[in-house]
Amino acid sequence: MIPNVLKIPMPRSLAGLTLGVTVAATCVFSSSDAMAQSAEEKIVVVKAGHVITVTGEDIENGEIVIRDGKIELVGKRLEYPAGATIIDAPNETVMPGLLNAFTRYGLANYNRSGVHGDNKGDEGVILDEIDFEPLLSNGYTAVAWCPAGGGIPGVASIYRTAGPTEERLLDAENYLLVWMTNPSSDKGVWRGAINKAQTEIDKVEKARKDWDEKQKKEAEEAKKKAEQDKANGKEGEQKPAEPKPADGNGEAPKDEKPKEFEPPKIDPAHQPIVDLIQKKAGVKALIVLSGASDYLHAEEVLEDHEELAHNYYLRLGVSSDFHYVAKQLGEQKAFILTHGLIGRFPQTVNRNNPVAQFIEAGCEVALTPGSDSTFELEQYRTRLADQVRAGLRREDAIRAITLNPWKLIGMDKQFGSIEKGKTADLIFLDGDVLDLTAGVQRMMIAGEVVWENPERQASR
Amino acid sequence: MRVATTNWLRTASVAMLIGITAMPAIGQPRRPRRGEQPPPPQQEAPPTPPAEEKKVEEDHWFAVINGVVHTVSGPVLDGVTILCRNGKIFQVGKNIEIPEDAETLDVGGLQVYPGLVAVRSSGIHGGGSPEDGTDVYSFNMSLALAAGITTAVTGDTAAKLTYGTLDDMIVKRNLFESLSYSSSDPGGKRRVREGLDRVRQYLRDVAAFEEEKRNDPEAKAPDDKWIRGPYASYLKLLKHEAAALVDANDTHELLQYCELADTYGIKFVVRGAYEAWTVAPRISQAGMAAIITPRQRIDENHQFNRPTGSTIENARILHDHGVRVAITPVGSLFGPGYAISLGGLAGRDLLHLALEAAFAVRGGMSNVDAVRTVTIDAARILGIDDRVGSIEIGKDADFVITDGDLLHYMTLARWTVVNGRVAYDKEKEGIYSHIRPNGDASAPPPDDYWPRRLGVDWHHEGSTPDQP
Amino acid sequence: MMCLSSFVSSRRWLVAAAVLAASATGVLAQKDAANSVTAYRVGKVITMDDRDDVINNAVLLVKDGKVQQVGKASQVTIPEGAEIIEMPQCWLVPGFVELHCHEAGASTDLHDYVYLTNPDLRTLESVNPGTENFKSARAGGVTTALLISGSGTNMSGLGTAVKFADGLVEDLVIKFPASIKIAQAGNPERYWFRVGRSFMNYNLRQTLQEAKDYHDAMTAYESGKIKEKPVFSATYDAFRDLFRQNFMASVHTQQYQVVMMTLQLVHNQFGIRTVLDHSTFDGYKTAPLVIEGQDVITINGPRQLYFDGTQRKIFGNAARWWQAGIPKLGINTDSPVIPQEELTYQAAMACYYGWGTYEAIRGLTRIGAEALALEDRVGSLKPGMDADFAIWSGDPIDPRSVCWMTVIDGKIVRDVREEMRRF
Repeated sequence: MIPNVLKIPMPRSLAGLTLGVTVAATCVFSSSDAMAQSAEEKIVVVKAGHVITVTGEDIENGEIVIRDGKIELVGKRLEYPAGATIIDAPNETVMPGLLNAFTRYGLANYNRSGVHGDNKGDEGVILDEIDFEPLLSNGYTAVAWCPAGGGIPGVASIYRTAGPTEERLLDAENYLLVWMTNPSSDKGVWRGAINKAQTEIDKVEKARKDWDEKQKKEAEEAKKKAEQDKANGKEGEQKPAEPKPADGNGEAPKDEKPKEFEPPKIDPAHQPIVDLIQKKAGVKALIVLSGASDYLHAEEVLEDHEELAHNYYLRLGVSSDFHYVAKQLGEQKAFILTHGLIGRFPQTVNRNNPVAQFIEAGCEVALTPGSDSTFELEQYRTRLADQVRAGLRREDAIRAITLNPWKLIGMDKQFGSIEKGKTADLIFLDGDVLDLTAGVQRMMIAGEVVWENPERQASR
Repeated sequence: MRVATTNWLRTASVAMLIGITAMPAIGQPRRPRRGEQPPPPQQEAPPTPPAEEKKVEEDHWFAVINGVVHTVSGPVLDGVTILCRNGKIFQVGKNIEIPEDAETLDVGGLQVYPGLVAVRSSGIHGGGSPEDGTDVYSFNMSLALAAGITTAVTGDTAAKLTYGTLDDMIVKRNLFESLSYSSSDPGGKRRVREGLDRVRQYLRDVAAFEEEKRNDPEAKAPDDKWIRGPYASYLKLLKHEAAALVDANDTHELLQYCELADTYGIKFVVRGAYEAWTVAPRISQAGMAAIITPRQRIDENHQFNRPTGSTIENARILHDHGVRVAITPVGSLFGPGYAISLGGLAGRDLLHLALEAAFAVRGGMSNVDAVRTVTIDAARILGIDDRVGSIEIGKDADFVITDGDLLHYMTLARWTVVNGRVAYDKEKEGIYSHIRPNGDASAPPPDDYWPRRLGVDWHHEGSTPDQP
Repeated sequence: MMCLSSFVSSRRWLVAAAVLAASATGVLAQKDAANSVTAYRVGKVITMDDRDDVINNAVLLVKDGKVQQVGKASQVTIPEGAEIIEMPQCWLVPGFVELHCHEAGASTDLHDYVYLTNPDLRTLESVNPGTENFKSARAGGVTTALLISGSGTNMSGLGTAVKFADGLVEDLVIKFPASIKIAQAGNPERYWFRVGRSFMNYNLRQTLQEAKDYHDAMTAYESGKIKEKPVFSATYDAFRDLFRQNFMASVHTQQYQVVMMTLQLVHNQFGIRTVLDHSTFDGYKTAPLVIEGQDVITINGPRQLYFDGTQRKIFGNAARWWQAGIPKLGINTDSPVIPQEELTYQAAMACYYGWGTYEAIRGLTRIGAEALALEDRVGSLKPGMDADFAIWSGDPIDPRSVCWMTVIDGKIVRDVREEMRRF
């Protein structure tokens, strides 16, 4: 298949998987100073028939130079050091690895209600027990595991689908999941959680205020005492016998060292909501909606509070009615996570293309598969092609599956496109991403090929 | 409050828009909310309006012009304008100056009635508290609006059919106290009477205490810690702060409630009351109101030596005796009359509330009085007549605009207005738009969908229904 | 009764005071004067004759239980000594014909699940006059009904045409057999071993084929084509009139596929006069086939609306049939599913969802009579027809209108001056 290349089988043990990698160990170009390879560094060069960079132009016969798992250069006819590992894929399309941004893949579901902000999505995850094959074979290099249950079940955890175990965890505590699919109860939970979090904040503030006041008072008293001592001179000698003002616990003050303020404990179940209210960087809620009306209910709760950073997860069904609020979502420049599908307007057989509609309205859309079934993971690209056929712009479609899910979890600086500085998580397809006869052939995580289509392996 | 927010939003989003041109593309949806500072102006961007600059609150004006206005509480006014401000009726009359920015609905000679009040409903609003559980885009809500209903009682709350918005939904909560005084439970009846006696005695003690306090400042107030649960309910009833909603149908049960009303001075709203016509003067005397279904049919019971069974004249007879009457539709095999059913047995649910009132006319009631049973009289029974039920200045701008006499069997709503907003538009909503469009009875039907028909592109032009 | 009369007295009468006095002796007087003429002077007569005459300021003369004459007040001479009933504001409308009634009999044997097809069951024996149901039918201006058995089996028996008159069964029954009840899909699927449509069709076809074979053999024998007389069949003998087109099959059928099946099987294959009862959901899409069938009559109800989930629209079933060009379209209640007195309200619903008033009245009268092949007796008001009519305060379809008086065979069977008005 790949002529003129010396094939050296390199069996590697990687997360329990034995993989073969095609490596062309020939030096093609001479090294330059800029691209000097030090002893510890590992340089991989991907030569692909087609590169979908997402953030830039697509490149025909492009090259990606990867240094230590990070993309160093993207372009054509690049320079790289001799001894770099070449991955030659002249008939393949290379694009960034995908993130399944909302999943319970491989994990048990259970019912729970109420506020559990201290719960994490990876609760109960045993990586070795989970078969990542269906995810890898469909292009997923990472998953965001959501906590199970309704109400506010906890925060999502981001993991890679392959690679060395110690490098799999990308973020243990990502978005806070908030369900609003049954507003008659969910609204109460969300409101209650915000109020409780506010109470916790007030509690801390009050404690700090009290502490500050106490410090001030003590300082004043000490000052007063010092002045008194100074004024009375001799009498000052008797003072030490006088008992110190009791501070409640009867603890005799020893040295007058100012103690550190110890804030009262915040209820861990409400900690993420406290962080949201305090606008802690990177903390964001993902609010799950099942219909247009849920959006209004969610907005009503948020209207009554300070802005809480949030995105929406629209659980699109075949006949969802989100088109009623598409304009409002667009005006708000909402960032939406949803399933891409061609649906029907409710009570009709008239098809609609909600994702295209949201984008047209001004929203940014990230896509996720409709469920965790292998079928759904496989249908994912079919659905996307359907939507493009029905009018969704190709660039928007690709951005919605690549960059935007990473943006949703705030990791788009490291992942989601092929550009300098980003992690080299790549998919190799033997055709275009929207070509349904094409399949994923290889998956690369941080510059290492971690999965290869078994058929391809066999044919080699 | 809402209005203020909206305007603030507008100001802030302008700032936002200006700001964003110079800002790098950001993924986070940012929308200024109440109390938030607009984003800091960028260097290149022109100066944003200062956040302190508070705009004068803009009023939302809405005008219905050229209608035949059935005020219900007053005369029928032909060709007048109804001007509404922020969801309330502001002015009614001729030669009214309409503000420039008003949303104007020219109804071109159609009939304007106050929005109908459904004294009982299910399936329109959500369970629990309606403002939290309602799907305001639900098909049922559109259907109920198409039936002219703008206010419906769900559970114990009167709520508006605020299509597409959650604002100003609730009209009144805790409409009624409940009380059961059924002859099938004599022990329960005794407990009700004993409870009422106890609370009545408490009220007397309170009165005595007030008297005593004048002479003896150290007089002890009667204990009120036990006034909880049913006692709290009895207290409200005895103090006339609320009415009790009870189900009573036959003469026997009705008379028992009459007796209770006489003894304790409690206000009752009886629901059902198909034999009320046999004791109408008694019901009137007891100060009761009735929620009835005129065409409910219960055959005579020949075991009694007195008039029994139902009559179509029930509504008229009660009304003639000064009993306030509201009407709720008869049910069918597919569900109760206070629901919405597309099962097919048409005319036996809330979709035809107005026609249920038409049956009261069959029983001898006047057209005007029959309209009142689903508007102002229904509102009075619910205690929300200060807000809805008639077209009067200061009341809520809730209208149903029909292409004919409300009680006629070929009349359809053209528009339904809730809180000064068009909540239903027959042409746009489409559910009934093919039936007598613009009054044309001979209009052809729309094309049918045949699954096997070829040549129909699945995302063809016109596949998008009008968005309200 | 004191308190009852006090309420009733407040009613305003449209009948002239003189007439009130005359009718004080009530129904008894009429019996004596059976041969005398009664003149009804009304505001409007809807004759429902072939020319669709509607006569304002009309007089209708009744003699011997038949219509003697109907015409403009100025053109009809009221004979000397005739009783005159004067209701100058009112409409006089032919008595309504209900084609799908389970209420004129004892409804306990409505569903006799004997076999999947029961050609030899009859409703004749279950006719039960004098019940409250009779009263309620008259209150709704309904004078004739086809009493049929339920739809629990594919063929549930022979129907009986009755009038809601007083008297013995012989006095009431005007035609028997008046129909054979066939039920397709839906309800008969509940038969005890849960049959499907293919088997039901097979079974129905088999039964009809046996009946047809019997009829053909008998006809051949009678015409001398064959010598040997076939064995008499009590089961199928009544069916000979069915194949002679003397009565019809009233077929419980709904939805496109089922109506189509009915047309093909009952009408086309066996040449039976067919009435499509209910004909709801998207059954109207078969309209071209029904029009092709020429003599097929479509009766709509009690479902009057169809929610089309393909285009978010509510259709009136009757309106859609009518718009598709169906010439013979009626309305039924399926009482007691809808109470018998609400037959007109079913029509009101049909009109609400897009049908027309006059067509609806025709559907309640003449079309029903044609379906029963009794159009020479009931369903319109022409000289010689049965004097079956009702006097309404106005448009009978309007729920606000009151049926003041119902007349069957010239006898006043409901008169709100005489009885408490229940409906």
